[in-house]
Amino acid sequence: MLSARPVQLDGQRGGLGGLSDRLRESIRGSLALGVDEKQRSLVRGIVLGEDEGLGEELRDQFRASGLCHLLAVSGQNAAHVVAGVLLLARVLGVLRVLAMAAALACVGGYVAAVGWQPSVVRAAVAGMLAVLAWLVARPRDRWYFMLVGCAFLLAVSPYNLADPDFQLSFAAVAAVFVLVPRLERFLAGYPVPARLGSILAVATAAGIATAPLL
Amino acid sequence: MPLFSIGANALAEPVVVPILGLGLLAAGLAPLLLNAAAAAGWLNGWLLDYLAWCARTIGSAPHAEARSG
Repeated sequence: MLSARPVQLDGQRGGLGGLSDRLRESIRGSLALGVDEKQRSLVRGIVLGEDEGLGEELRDQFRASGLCHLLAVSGQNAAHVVAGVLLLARVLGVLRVLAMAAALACVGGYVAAVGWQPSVVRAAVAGMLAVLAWLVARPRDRWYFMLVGCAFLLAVSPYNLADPDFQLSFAAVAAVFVLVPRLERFLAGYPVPARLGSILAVATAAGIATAPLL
Repeated sequence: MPLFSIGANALAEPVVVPILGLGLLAAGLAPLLLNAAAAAGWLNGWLLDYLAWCARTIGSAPHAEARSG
């Protein structure tokens, strides 16, 4: 039998942990602007991985439709942060070196705000390596980026190997690398628009690889 | 196990990145331009409604989920 007393907060963390907490709180507050309560819960789920505010019914519907992965922070989010910063910098005409530095800072801030989850760290490592490769004019290899992320996470804690987030993340990414080109070639033989074909290929590859784990 | 996952993801995919982008844009704008951040949030609300509609429509469809046992 497990019993617990109410938790009482005595203070806040200091140092980097405290900085992460304040950053997260700041983003949480900003996400509440201009939206109603249900939308707020949803956007906090997608941006920060917090789905506590969603009603039971809507959460069940996300699960039944196969969309519940959107309510958890994924590595894709970190990749989108890098891409978004670079796009914004290009629109504003910022020097590419500065844009890359801003992308590194933003992805670091995002990882700090959402927490050191394996999928996010994997994508952040890949994004940072891609930026560094460009800065020092070295070739880019996505398998290498993925494996460095894997090695980093296992060096931090070998127990990550047993973490479902770790397993799902690497299974999905490896499947995307291996299966998507093949599926896209297969779909090219059918009257499917290229963009839709790409979406279907990614969803199918990720679905096949993660189904045994789910 | 969700049976219509691929179709649901294909429907939801176009709004996922804009939702994340507008959310982070609102977070970036809020300390400087509160009204602009609220406008980004308002725009995001439409996309969030669409995403919730995708989940509701597909998640509550007959045979949307296969259950074992």
